Amino acid sequence: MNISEDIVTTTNDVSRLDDAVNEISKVILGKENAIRLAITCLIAKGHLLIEDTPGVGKTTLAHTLARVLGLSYQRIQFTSDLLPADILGVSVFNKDTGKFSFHQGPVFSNLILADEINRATPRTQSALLEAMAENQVTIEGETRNLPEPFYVIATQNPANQIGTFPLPESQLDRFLMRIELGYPDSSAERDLFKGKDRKEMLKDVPAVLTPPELISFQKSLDAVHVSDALLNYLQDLIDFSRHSGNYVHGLSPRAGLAIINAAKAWAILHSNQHVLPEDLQAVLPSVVGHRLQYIYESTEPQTLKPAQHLIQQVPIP
Amino acid sequence: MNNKHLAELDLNKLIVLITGLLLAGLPHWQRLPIWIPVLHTLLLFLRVYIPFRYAGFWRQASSLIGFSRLVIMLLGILGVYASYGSLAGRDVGIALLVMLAGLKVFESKTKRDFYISAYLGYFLVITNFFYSQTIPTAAYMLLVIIIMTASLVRFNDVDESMSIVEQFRYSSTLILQSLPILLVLFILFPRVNGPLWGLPEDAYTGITGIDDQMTPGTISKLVQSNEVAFRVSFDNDIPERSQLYWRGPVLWKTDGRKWTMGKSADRQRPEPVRFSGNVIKYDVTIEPTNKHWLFGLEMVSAPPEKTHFTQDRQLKTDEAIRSRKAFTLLSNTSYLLGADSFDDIQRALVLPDLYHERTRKFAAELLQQYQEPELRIKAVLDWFNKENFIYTLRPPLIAGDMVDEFLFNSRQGFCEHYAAAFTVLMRAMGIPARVVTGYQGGEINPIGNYLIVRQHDAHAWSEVWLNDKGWVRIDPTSAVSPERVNQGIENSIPDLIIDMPLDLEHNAYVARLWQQFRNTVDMVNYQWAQWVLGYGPERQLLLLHRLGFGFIDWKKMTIAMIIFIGVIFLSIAIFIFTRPPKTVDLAKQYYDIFCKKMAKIGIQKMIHEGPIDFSRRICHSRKDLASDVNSITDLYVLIRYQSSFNKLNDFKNLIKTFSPK
Repeated sequence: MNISEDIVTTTNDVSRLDDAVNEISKVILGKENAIRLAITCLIAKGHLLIEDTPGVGKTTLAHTLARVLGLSYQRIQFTSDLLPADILGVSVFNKDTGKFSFHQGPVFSNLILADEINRATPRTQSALLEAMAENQVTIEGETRNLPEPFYVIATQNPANQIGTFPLPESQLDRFLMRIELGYPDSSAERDLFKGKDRKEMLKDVPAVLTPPELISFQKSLDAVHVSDALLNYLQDLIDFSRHSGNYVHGLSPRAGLAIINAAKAWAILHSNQHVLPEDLQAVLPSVVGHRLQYIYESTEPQTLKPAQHLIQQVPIP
Repeated sequence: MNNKHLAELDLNKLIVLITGLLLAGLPHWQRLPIWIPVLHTLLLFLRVYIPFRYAGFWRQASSLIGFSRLVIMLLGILGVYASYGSLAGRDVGIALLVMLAGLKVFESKTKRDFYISAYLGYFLVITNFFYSQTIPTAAYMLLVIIIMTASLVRFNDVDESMSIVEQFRYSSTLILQSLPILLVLFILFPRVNGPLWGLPEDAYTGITGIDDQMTPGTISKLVQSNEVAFRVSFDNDIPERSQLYWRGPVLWKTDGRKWTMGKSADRQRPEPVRFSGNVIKYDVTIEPTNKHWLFGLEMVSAPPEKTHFTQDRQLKTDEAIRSRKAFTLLSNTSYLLGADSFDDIQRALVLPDLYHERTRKFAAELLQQYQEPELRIKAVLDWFNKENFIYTLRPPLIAGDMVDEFLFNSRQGFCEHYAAAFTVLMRAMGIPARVVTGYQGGEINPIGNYLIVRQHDAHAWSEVWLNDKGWVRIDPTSAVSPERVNQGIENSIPDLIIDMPLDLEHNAYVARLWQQFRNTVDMVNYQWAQWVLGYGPERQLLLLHRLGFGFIDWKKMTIAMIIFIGVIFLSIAIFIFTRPPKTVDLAKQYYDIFCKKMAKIGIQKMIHEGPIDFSRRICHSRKDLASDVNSITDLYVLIRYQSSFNKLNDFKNLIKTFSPK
C-alpha cells in the first residue's frame, strides 16, 4: 500500500522536476539531456562533476542548478594558491574572550559550487574528499557535521589544458556523475546569441524546488522496483568491464551502486516505478565515464568512449 | 507490502485462514457448548464484515475494538467456567482455544497477529486427535493443514502473483516435501512406555465399554455402538462361535435393580480351575477403555505380564488401558471352575429383602416341583423358551419391581434382563448364581483372518454353582434366542441393522459386497491401529531390528534420527545447488519469440537495445504495428522489470497472436 501511495505522490511531483528542467533549459539552451542528468545526479544524492572546455556554460549550469533547487550555496573559485583552510574554515584567536573561535569555511552550506576544481593543487582538492564522502569535515582534530543535504557541484577543464592538476581517481570516484556539455547545436547557439545576457538571467531564475521536496524525491528512490532481470544486466556489464581486458580497472561495487541509484533517479525523473535497461543505459556514460579507461594497448576501436563501448558490447539479458 | 498493518484490503488474505480455522474447529463443535462455536464463527465473520462495511470505523475505533475484545475475552472465560465448572482439563482447554482463536483473528491487525492466528489453527488441528485417531480424522486434519499452510503462502504472496489454485498446490508441495522427515521422525523418534505427559483425567470420558455395574439398558445401549472393542487373532483355528464368551466384570450384588460387583475381589487368590482339552493361543488387541478389564476367552489359564486375576477370575490389567494394547493370552474352553471358600458361595445367594415377591413365589413353586438343581435350572430355561418371551433391543420401560415385571408382565428384554432375572430366580431357589458381563461372539474378518469384537457384541450371562461341577456358565438368552449365541447379534435381532445404509436384506449380492467392503475397511483400520497408533516402544524395537539396526537404545535411536534427517537435508541441498541455474526466464523466452517474428520482417533487435528503444525503432518504421508492439512491450516491461509475474499468461497469448507481415 505504501508503494501505491508513493506512486501517487511522485507522479504528481514529477511535473515539478520537469518544471525545474524547463527553467534551467531557458538559461542553458539545447542541453536538456545534460540538465536531466544533472538533476538525476542530485536526486540520487550524488556529487556532480561538469567537465568541458571553457566557455560552454559549465559554471552557468552549476549556478542555475543551485538556484532552481532552492539550496543555499557557496561558490569557491579554485585557484592554484587556494589552501584547504580557505574551504574548510579556520580557528581565529578572539582577543575579547581570550579563546580560539572557529570560523566556518564555505564548505558549511547545502551546495558548493567548486569552480574549476582542477586548477587547485591536489592538497586543496583533497580537502573536499572527506566532506564529499562522509558529509563531515575534521578540522584541527575536531569532527564537524555538514548540513543536510550536502552537494558538491564541481566544474573542471579537460585535463590536457595548461595549469591543471588532474583529479586523482579516488577523488573522481567521489563524484556520482561526470557530465559533459559540448557545443550547442547551431539553432540553440543562434538563440543564445539573440537572447539576453546570461548573468542577468541568472538573477531572475526562480527556486522551483524546495529542499524538503528534494529530500522526499531522494527517499522515493527506495520505492523504485529493481527486478532481478535488471540486476542480471547490471552484473553482466560489471563483469564485462572487469574481465574483457579492454579497461584499466573494472567497475567497483561502489560504481555498481552508483549506477543503480542513478538509474532509479532517472526512472523517477521519467515517471517510471521500475528501472528499465534504457534507464541504465541513459545514466551509464555519465556514471562510469570518469571511472573507466581503455588499456593503452586495447585492440578495440577507440572511436567510442569506454562507457559507450561497454553498452554496445554487453547484450541485455 | 512493506508496512506491517493489515488494512481492509487484506480481507482476501484472511479468507483462507478463516476457512482453515473454521474447518479445524468443526469436529469440536458437537462437543462444545453451543455458544462457543457460535461466538467463534461470529468473531470470524465480524473480522471480515466490519472492515468491509465500515472501513473508516474499523481504522479509527481501534481502542473501542481493543476494549470490546477484552470484554469478550473476560465474558468468554466466565462462560467457559460456567459451562464446565472448571478452567482446567481437556474439554475446557479446547473450549478456550476455540473461543480465543476466534478472538485472535478478530483483533488481528498486524503480521504478527496473522501468524499467531495461523499457529493457533495448527494447534487446533492437533487437538482433534484427543478425540479420534482414525484414518478419516487424519485425512481430514491433513486437509486442514494444507489449507492453513496455503493461508500462509497466500499471506506471503505479497504481489498476488499466484492464483488460489497455485497457492494450494504450493502448500501441498510443501507438505509433501515434509513427508520424508515425518517418516524418519515417526520411525526413529524414541518411544517411551505410556504417554510422555499425562493427559487430563477427562480425556477418556467419551469412551464406551463395559462397566462394573449393570442396570437395564446398560448393555442394550452399548449394543447400538458399532465401535470396535477389541480384535483377536488366533494362532490356530477360530473356535466355534458358541464358545466365544469373553469374560469381563463379574457381578455379585443386586439391590433389586442394579447389579454391582459387591466387595472388592481384586488381587486375591483366584478361584481354582481345572482345565482339559486343547490350549488356545491368541492375541487380543484392545481399544482404549480407560478401565482395567482385559477380555479373555473363558477361561484364561494364566495372566500375561502386567495383568492379574481377581478372585472371580476377571482378568485385569495393572494400569488402566488408555491406549490400544496387545496381549497374548492362553485359554481353555473346557474347564471346571471351583470356589475358594464357602463364604463366597453364600454371597451368591443374597437377594434384597423387599423385592421380587412374585419371583420368589414362582421359585417356591419350582422348588416343590423339581428336586435336583440341574432340573430346576432346566425347568427355568424351558420356561423361558416356551413362554412368550421376546428378545429385543427396545424393551418397554419397566416401572416397579424390575424382575417381577419382566418375568410376568412385559416379557420383552435384552440379555441383561434375562441374565438378571435368571440369576435372581436361581438365588430365590437357593442355587448360588452370579452375573457375568463381557462380550459374546465376534465377527470374522476373512481379509486378514482375525476376529473383530465390537461393542454391539456386549453380552451378559450367568454362572451358577453346582456342587459337583463348580461354577457353570448358563446363558439364559440362548434359551430365548439361540441365534444370538450361534449366529451373532446381527442375525438375532431384526430391528438391529447396524450401519447398513440400505435395506439390503433382499439383495444378497450387494450385501456380500457391503460386507466385503466393511471387512477391507476394518483391515486397513487394524493395520493403522497396529502400525501407526500402536507403534510403541516394543513395535519400534521390533521394526528397527527387522531393518537391521539390532536392538538399539533411545540414545542411539536419537543419533540415528539426527543422521537420517541430516542426510535428507543434505541430499535436498545437493539437489538444489547442483541444478543448473535458470538463466532465461519465461517472459524472456516469449519476448525472444517476438524478436524472431520481428527479425523475419526485417527489423533485427540489437543485443544492447532495450525493449523500449526497440519498440520505438519499430514504430518509427512500421506505424501499422505500433499498437501491438507497444502493448507487447508494455507488458514485457511490467513483467520483467516490475516483477508483475501474474501477467505472464496475458503476455504469452499476446505473443502467440502477434503475426507481423
